[in-house]
Amino acid sequence: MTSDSLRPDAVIARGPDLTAEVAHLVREDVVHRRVYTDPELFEIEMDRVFGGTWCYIGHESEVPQPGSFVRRRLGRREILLARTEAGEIRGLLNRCTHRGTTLVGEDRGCRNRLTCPYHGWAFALDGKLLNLPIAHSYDKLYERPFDLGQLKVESYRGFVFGTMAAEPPDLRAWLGPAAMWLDEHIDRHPQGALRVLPTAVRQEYRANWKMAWDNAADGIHATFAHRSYNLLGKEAETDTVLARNPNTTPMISRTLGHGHCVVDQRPGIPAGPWSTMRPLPTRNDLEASLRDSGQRTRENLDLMTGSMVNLSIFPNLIFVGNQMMIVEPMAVNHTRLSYYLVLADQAPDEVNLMRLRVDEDFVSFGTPDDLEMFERVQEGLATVEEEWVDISRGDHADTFDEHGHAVGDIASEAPIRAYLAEWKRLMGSPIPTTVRRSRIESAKFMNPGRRRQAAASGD
Amino acid sequence: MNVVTAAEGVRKVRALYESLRGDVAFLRQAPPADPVLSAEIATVLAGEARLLDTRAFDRWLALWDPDACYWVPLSADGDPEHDQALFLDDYRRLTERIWRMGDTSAWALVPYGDAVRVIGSVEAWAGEADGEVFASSTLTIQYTRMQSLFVTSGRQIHRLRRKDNTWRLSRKILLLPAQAGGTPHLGWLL
Repeated sequence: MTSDSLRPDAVIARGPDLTAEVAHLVREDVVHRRVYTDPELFEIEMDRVFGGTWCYIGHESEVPQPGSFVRRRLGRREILLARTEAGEIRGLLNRCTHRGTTLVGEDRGCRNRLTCPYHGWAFALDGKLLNLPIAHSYDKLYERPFDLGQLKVESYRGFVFGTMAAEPPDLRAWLGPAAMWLDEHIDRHPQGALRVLPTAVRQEYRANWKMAWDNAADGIHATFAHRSYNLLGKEAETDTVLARNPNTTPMISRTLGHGHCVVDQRPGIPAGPWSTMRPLPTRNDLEASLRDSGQRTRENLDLMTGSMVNLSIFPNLIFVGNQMMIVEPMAVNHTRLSYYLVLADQAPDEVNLMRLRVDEDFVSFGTPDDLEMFERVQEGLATVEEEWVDISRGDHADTFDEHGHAVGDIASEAPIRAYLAEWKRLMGSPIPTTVRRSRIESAKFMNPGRRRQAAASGD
Repeated sequence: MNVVTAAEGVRKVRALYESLRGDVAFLRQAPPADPVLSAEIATVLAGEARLLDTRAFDRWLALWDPDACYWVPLSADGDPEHDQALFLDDYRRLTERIWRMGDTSAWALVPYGDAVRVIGSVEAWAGEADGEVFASSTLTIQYTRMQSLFVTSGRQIHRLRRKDNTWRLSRKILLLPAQAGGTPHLGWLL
C-alpha cells in the first residue's frame, strides 16, 4: 500500500479533514444552507459520497450477455457496467489508460472489445489491454498501469453496487436492514425475476441532489406539494396514495442505517396498491384481458403498480412505484434524475404492458411539482443571512428499533436526520480510494525484473 | 414472457402500439408528400399550435376525436410495447392535462409559462381510410417561465380526419431528441 499516485497500487485519501466543519454544518435538528449551496463541499461529495462508499450502478439484467455494457456516472467519473466474456460483472472506468479519452459514447451496447478512437488501444471487457497499435513505440508502458481502471463492484441479488474505496464495508453489512426490504421488493415479482428496462426517463432540476433525499421519505409534502395530483385523483373518485391525512395514517417511516430508509405505505391502504390507481390509458383493456383469462387476481393487479414501499438506499437509489430513481449530481445546484422501469418477467403479459403506462401518470402530474419545490428551496437558500434549515420535525416522537434506528410516523423527518448523519460521517475525513486493475502485478513497479513484454501477449 | 393470452383487450393494446411504431417507421419510407394537402394541413397545424401557445386549452381539446392518442416516446426508436414513454395518453388523460393547466395548485405550472411553437417542413399524405391524413412536421418550442428559458426541437407526427368540413385530430406523436440526455420536466408539454 502506497500513497505515491504514480504507482499502480496507490491508495490515496484525498482532500482536507472536515470533521469540525461538518460537525458545525449538520446539527441534531438543523442543517446549514451551505450543505446545499457550497460548490467546494460539492466537489468533496463527488469523492467521498459518490466514490468513497457504495453506490448503485446498475442491474445485472441491463447487461444480459457477454460483451454487454451500459454507460453510467459515479460522481464525476464516467463508468461502464459491463459483462465479461466469462460472464462476470465488472465496473470499468470509461477512460483510456493512455490519454484519458472516454472509450464509449453510447449509453449501452454489446462488443467483445472496447477500442479507443484516439490511438487505437483496445481493451477486453474485463479491462485487460488486448491490442496496442505500434507497440514498440510505447517504451515505458510497463512503468505505468495500462489495463483499464476499475471500481470494486458487488451484486446483491442482481443489484450492482460499486465503489472506489480501498477498503469498502461488506456490501451486505452496509445494506443492513435495507437488504430485507430489497428482498421484499424482489420477491414480490413472480420467481424473483425482475428486469430493468435500459431506457430511462431523464429529468433535471436546478437544485442540489440532496433535495431528492429530503423529499424521498417526507410524508407531509404529499398533502401540500401534490395537492394537484390529489385533486386529480378526487375527480376520478380515487384516493391516491398521497391523499392520506399524514396526521392519522398508520403509514410507517423507518431509518435503516447508513442513510437508507423506507416508507411503508401499506398499513394506510388496506385495499391494496391497485386501489390507489386512477384510470390509466389501456387500463380497461388490460384488466378486461386479465378477467377473460381468469387472471384478474388481486395479486396480479397489485403487481401492476408499485409495492407502496418506498425504499431509499443512500446515496443514489430510490424506489418509487415500479421505477428506480437514480440521483445523479451534476453541479451543486444541478441534478439529473434517471427513472428506470422494472418489469416482472414471469408475470402475465398484461401486468408488464400495464407497468409501462402506470408510472407515466406520476411523471406527468406529480414529479413536476416535486422538482418545482426543489428549485424553490434552492432559490430560498441563496439568502446567506438565513443560515439554518430546520429538520427537527417529529424528533420527540421517534422510537428506536432493535438496531437503534429511528422509526416514526410519516410526518417524522427522521429519514432526513439519518441520511445527513451518514453524509457527515462520510464527509468528515478523507476516504482512502484506489483504482483496481486486472493486472497490476504485471506493471514494472510491481515486478521490476519484467520489461518490454508486449501487452498484447495477454498474460 | 408468458404465453400470450388471446384476449381481446391485450390484442387491442398491441394493435395500437403496432400502429404507433408504424407511424414513426413511415417517416423513413414515405413517398413524396402531396403539396396541396401539405399546404392545407400546415394551416391546421399552425392553428393547433396557436391554441396551445395562447392557452386556449379547451378549444384545443375540442379538436380531438375520442380515440385520441398523444405519445411522447423517450427516443425515436422507442417502442410503446417494450419501453416506457414520457407520455402515452388517451382522451381521458388529455382532459386531465387540460384540467391541470388551469389548476392553481399545480405548482410546477403556476405562474404560467409562455410557449412559442415554430412549425416547419410540413408534409402530408392521404391515409388509407377515407378523409384520413398523416402529417409530419418539424417543431421548435420555446418555453419561458419565471426566469428560465427552455428551447427544444423535434419532429411531430399528426393523424387527422376531415369531418363535416373541419379537421379533427386523432393522434399526435412528438419525437424530442433532447430527452435522451435529460431535460427539465416537461409537465407543460402538449
